[in-house]
Amino acid sequence: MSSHTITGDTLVRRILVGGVLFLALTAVVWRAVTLHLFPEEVSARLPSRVNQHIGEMLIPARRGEIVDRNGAVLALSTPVVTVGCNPQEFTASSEQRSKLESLLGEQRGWLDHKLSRYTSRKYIPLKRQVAPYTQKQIAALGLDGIEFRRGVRRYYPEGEAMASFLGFTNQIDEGQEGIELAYDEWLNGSPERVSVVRDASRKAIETLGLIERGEQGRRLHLSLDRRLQFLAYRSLSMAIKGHEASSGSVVVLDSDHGEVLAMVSLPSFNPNDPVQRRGGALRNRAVTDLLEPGSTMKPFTVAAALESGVVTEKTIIDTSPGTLRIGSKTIREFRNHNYKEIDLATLIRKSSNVGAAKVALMMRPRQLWRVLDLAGVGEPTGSDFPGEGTGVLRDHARWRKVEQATLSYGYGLNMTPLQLARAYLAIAEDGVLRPISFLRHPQGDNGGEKRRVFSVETAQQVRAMMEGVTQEGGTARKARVKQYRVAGKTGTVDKLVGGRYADKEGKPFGHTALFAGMAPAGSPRIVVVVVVDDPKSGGYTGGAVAAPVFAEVMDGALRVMGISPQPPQQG
Amino acid sequence: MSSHSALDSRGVDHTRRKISLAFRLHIDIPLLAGLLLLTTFGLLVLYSAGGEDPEMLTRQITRVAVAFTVLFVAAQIPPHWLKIITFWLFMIGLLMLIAVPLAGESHKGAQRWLNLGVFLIQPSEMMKLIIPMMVAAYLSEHHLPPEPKRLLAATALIIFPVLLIAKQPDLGTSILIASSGFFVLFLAGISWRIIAGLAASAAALLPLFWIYLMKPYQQQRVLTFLDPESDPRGSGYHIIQSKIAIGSGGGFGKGWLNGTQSQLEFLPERHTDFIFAVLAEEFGFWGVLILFSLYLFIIFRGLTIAIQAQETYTRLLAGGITMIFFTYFFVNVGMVSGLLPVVGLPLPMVSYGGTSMVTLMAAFGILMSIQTHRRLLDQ
Repeated sequence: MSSHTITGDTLVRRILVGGVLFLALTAVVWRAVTLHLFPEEVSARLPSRVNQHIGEMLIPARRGEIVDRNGAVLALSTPVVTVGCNPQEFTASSEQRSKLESLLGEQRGWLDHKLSRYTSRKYIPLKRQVAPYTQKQIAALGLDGIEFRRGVRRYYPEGEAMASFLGFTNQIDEGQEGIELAYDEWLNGSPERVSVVRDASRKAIETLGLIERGEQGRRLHLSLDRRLQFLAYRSLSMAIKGHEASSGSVVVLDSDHGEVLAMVSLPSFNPNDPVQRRGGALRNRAVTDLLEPGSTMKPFTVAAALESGVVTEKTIIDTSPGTLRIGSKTIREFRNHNYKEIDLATLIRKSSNVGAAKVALMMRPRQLWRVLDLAGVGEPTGSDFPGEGTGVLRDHARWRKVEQATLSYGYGLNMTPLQLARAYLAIAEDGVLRPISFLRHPQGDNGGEKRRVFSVETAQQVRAMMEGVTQEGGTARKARVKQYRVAGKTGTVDKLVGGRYADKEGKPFGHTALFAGMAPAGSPRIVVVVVVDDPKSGGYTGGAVAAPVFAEVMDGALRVMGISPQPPQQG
Repeated sequence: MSSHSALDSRGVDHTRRKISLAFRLHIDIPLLAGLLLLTTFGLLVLYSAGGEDPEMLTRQITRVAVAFTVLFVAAQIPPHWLKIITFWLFMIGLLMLIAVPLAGESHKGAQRWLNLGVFLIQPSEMMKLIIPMMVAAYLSEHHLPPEPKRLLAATALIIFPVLLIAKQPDLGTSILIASSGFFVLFLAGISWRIIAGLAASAAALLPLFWIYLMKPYQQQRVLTFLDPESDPRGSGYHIIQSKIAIGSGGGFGKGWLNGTQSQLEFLPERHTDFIFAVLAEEFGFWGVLILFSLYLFIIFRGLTIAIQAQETYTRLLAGGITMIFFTYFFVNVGMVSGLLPVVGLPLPMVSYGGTSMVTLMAAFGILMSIQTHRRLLDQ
């Protein structure tokens, strides 16, 4: 067929081919025009995605360190890296693999095992919390597909001794428990916001600029003393071990400033090992656990009685025959003693339940309630510790007679060891109560609201009576500290289990041994409370179990705080 | 060769001026220039799209060199020789297509390759060229327009391999081959009634095609094409990212090696099927226009060669080849810019990869052969 004869049909076909070509080209050109010039016509969401590669990144601030009252570091954040691997790009030889394994502290073959499970992924974290110098060594191997992601690790040099007090942080260094949680905002600072170029896998490639300046975490200056804390920790753990007790706590306060010098709770855990961060060991028992204070409340009963004028220092109370029947309940002395006629000082020294009950019943309910209430029973201490218990003190209007009697020797109300220590501040500070602080205040005053619980005279009289506790004939001679005068009070509490203090045969379920006291007795500087829960051997009384711990801790505290010894009071 | 003998009879002095060296080497200068410009532009874009990988560039340059060699060799073969071997090429191609599902190799879930020991070969790729050759050879043996019986036979020649390829599955290639075959039929002058009939039956068969032949992922692609925003992180991701890339290029683009969509790896398949988006982002609207002009120029030259062809066979073949090239270009740009569903065709002469480039260069070699083996006396 010749090409020279162009029939009408051929022409039509050529025009049609040309037409189709023209239309197709017009379509793609028009498409290019609209996509370039009017992208919003193609899709309303297109323009907003044009800058999808530019994003925001937060650079976390370094968490502030926590230091004790002398500036020793108690918690410190250090930069670490997470070593990760992109299996798609990882092409290391077996020799390089074994080098990497040994740098990460792993067995041979660990890497292959780990990678074989997720071959299709683009990122596998291999090891978290790798130190920067190890990162340098790994980087020097020059392996493809190895990535480093920045992280932080919180380190606690004091380990178990401070664990339940300080608490800990999570993977991104946010406070989870204890002081770390209570002062999280202060410690945390604020992250820096920068705009970055990201690739499709959201990895930041390049920093474009600063959006918002961050703020470094601030340093937290605690009132705690590292040496004293360790001493209290060691002393309490020996006691718990020696008496086969289940738990315990110690609180040491600087009574002049209301500052906490040491706060120990046992059992504890190693805060540097995330695996151990669980269970009851996390609890700071000194702040969270409520207990009936028992005989340690007797000084307040006496103080209330002195304050309300129903007794004087010289009042004699007849405790014969060593029991007191109120309604259906009989109040007994410890081990069924009969102290007969005693003065208030002997009441405290011997810890007479009948005496305390009789003194309490001489008052109107409100008079006893007022002193306990002002002493902070059933009221937060102002420490703001996470999970702090408040305790319970029922309103005096609803007290029954027997309740008024048992309250006098510390049953029927409950409080935390820290609250007990704070209440003892009132006795130590001549009747003035102040809030508790964990922070060191350079001016020496934590600024809290002070209030008077009882008069100066009452406080001094009660303190003098409490000195007898550690002397001949007292319940806690083991609480004595050489060269210092100590005032204190023992407590031996029958444990309350399921609403009962004793089983059907009248045998107690267990005891809590307490000792609360202060020194030097003339002008107290230190208040110490020791609680040992459920001691099962070597005695169970406050005088036998808690008092030795008290003496050891108090001795250390007095020396650490540089308080000069006083000669023992003559006579 | 025949043209030389014809020249000799005309007298040496008069004709020598008219016949250039290029013509003697069977090279069509405009077509060669267009192809050289296009491949050079393509290498430039590829270097950026491939993350400035010199090794990748070297490999592609090697392929370009091989492809041009194939072009020169193909250009030396006179068209009537081609016509003779076409039937055997077709039979070999068909046998290999049949062998693929029996002994082929799979990559990414599609069984398309045959391992010939030395290298992998993709029979469907060769069929892109062989089918229009075969249809053209078959129809040109008799007068045009073809009788209905021959038309039916020619249709069978197209349909059978297309079904084999569609089953691999390779939707893009099968559509391309079908359109190239039917395009030759159209050029051969089948009556408008038959065209209308075919169009109607195609429309009627479309639902059956959807249900029986298309794999779920292919159906998903079409649905995604209709509404890419319905699944922006999954199947709609490709097309959304490429639209962003094209749209963010602006008039003059972000500059070579500076496209954020491609350099930051937002754009998938950026050095193969979606390379057009990289070009549009980095060279902008004017870059797109230059690329389109190059394609248009090549297509125009191909159609000119078809019109100037002196035999039915060469004219049908030249027209068919040019239309394959055009379809390649249009389908790829259409899918990357969201006009057509994603079918997985490379941008001819630009995308990374050798097979399609070598096939197309062989086709352009045939075009040059058709142009330079004409009897010039007739002009």
